Amino acid sequence: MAKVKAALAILMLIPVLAACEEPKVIDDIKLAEAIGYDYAGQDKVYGTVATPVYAQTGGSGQVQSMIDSFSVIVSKGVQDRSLLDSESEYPLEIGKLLVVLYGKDLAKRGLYKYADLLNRNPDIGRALNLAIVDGSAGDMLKGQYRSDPLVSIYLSNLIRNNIKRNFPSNDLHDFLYSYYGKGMDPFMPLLERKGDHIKIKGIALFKGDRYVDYIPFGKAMIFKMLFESFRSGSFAIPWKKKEYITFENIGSKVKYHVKNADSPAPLIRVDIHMQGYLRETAVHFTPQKMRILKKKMEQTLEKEGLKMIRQLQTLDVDPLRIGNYVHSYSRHWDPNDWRDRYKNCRFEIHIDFNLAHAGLVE
Amino acid sequence: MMWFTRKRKKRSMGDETAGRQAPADSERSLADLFNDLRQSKDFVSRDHALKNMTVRISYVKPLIDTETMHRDVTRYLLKSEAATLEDLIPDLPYTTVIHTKDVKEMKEKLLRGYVLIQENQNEANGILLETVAKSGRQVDAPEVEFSVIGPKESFVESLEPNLYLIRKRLPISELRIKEVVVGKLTKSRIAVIYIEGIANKENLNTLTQRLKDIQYDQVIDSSFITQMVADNNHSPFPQLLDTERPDRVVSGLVEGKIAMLVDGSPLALMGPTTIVEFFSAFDDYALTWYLASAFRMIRLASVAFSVLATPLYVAVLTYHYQLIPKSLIGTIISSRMGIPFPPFVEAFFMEITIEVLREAGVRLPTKVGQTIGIVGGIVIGTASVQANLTSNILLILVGMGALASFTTPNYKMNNTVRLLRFPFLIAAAFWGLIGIGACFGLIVAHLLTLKSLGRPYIEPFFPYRVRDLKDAFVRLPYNQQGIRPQQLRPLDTWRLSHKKKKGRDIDE
Repeated sequence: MAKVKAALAILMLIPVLAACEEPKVIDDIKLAEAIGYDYAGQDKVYGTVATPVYAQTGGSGQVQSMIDSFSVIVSKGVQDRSLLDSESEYPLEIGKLLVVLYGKDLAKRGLYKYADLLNRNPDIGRALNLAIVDGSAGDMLKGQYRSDPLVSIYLSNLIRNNIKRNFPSNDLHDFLYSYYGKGMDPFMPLLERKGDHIKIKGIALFKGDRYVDYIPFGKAMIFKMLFESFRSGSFAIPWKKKEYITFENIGSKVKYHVKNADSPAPLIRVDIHMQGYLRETAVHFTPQKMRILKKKMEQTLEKEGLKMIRQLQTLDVDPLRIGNYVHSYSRHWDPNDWRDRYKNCRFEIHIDFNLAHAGLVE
Repeated sequence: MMWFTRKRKKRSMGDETAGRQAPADSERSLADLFNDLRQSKDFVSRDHALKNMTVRISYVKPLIDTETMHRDVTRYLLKSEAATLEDLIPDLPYTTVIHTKDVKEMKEKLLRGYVLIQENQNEANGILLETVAKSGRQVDAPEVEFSVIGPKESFVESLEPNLYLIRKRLPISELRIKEVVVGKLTKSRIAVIYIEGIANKENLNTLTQRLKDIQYDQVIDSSFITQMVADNNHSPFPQLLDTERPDRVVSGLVEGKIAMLVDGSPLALMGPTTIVEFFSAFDDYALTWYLASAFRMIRLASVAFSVLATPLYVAVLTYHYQLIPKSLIGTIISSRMGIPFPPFVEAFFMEITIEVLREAGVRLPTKVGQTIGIVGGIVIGTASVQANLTSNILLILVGMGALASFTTPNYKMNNTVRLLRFPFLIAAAFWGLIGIGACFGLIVAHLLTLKSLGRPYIEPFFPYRVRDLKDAFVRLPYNQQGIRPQQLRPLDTWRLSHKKKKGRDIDE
């Protein structure tokens, strides 16, 4: 009897609980895969949503897809979803959001509000890619490109694959971590439209939530080397009159050491162990020349690294999270006076480059 | 529920009183017995004039082998010069001659294929000679539990050949065979088999007691027994291991299990058992241990897949679109495009189709069944995709799920797996992944309470006994299998001989 009651109770739960979660059948919703925000006057934001539209296969197995995008102008801070729904065949769902783009103009005025919106929504994954567009984000989403017909997939692949190589790793989680964390500033990829292609122009630097400047893509590898340990990517150094030698990185480890952390001008030593091999060169290398090359490599990278850090110091942005490193060496770290001390920090970079081999034709 | 119980009670009480008049085992006179038997045409009872006396020979014709009777009985009777029944006995070429005055025994033996010889028809005094007709199937290769390597013998429908198949593999005096007769009308003989000194008496007593408590008019097959002696007869999980392989029974006996053979059934039963044993096949013991383990893992994974594939599809497509990888989303959406049903209806429809096909395939004669299976599967599958009734991804999942369920070596467990996916499917349709989790929880809770002959059913996992894990997910090599499964509580736990092992080969 007790068992029957228990069984009945469970059966009763079906109608009672089944209404709790609205079914979102996959083909009865529209998936917002990319969202773009642009500045549209004083209190207005121009929002664009790109959703994929798939054609019926009828058992053929060929997936035909194209992008559909809607735009709407709303007041700042208002979720544009309800307005966008009025244009959409099915309700928009943002659980599969891949990329969020921000126009440069908007980014200069601060992104906190928009990042917070993403942070609050439990449907959105933290591995979402954010990017700044040099130009209009809406136009970028509405464009037609040679690559993947879905601009969302195209952008997501573009950013992710570059993160695997030369571009420093960066997603919503990293952005929020750097934004909320003390002694660090966020950064993002800066995108640019080039005809029927999209190009990563560089690393957009932020001071707090405001866009300040960018590092050109050519220097991204130097930034990445200082920012994190990684296992791939390539870079070139000059070698005698206009000749360049390209190296392929197969393992780079970075470590920060801080001396006099409580002083007005802390000394920061960056130790980098790097392993790589020659990729492209027209020069024939003898073992002797190799030693010279190794020295030259180390010097070039150290010089470039110091130059970049100096540039960041002048801009007063801290995407390398130097403040955080100093913090970990200091008992009385104060975020307020850190800003002043940051400018006076002295840096040393020690690079130990290990040339694994000079390519197949050694 | 209450009213059902009450009705049943009333009826069973009525049964008992009525049973007294029915053909029961009540003692009756010889004349009554003969009167009863004569009502049937196949009963033969006639007088034979011997040299010095006249005897009455009675038997039930279909049950005896006429040739044997003429060769071993009639011939010697005619030669005999005996004047009394007692004198007749030494003249017959039988080592065991039952000389009885018990009417009940006479009746029993007559109905089991014995010949009754009397001096005087009306006196309850006669000798019984066995002349049982030996008809029945030859020992054949196993069909349900087929294996590529290993013995190709399976049980048949008579008890004696089956016992022979076990006896010949275990030539030890400790092998015990007890007989219990069950079934008011069928009087089925059940042989309870165990090894003295290994099998735990507690298990044996539990089983014998339950067997003796069975009250039913017919026991046609051992599967009746499984349900009647099961610890929980509402459970979808079989609680006694059934097998048609004598080698499997023997290895069970050696571990300390109790086996049962039912006369007329080609399936032996073994207990106590655990859930993992239903997923182990003979091949697991014939191959090297890591191969065997790998294939067993595949089998277990298949079962999980078979139960969970469609429910997960329904849950993810209905509630959790976030879980679908970005590159798969296009494929899934395009294949679902234009399908007028929600995923649940789509999946339920497909699952029912598969079940119908399977059921039809089983019922139809072998050759037609195969054709129907192939034609039905391909035609209905392709047509329903082209007609936009199901997505081809679901079709793959359902097909794979059905295929995966066939990897279960045990037919009864196979049916359990087959049915189990429906509650999961319904839960997934209503509550998504939470529903699947809840359903899983319910099933695990049920399994936790389940017992096989009083021993825990999911034993190596709960209660957690590390030593028994050696033959659960993986099958460790034989030198690691020195200890008999603890679940059976064997009296002799040690499998290897107690002598110290020599480390090296002789020629080393």
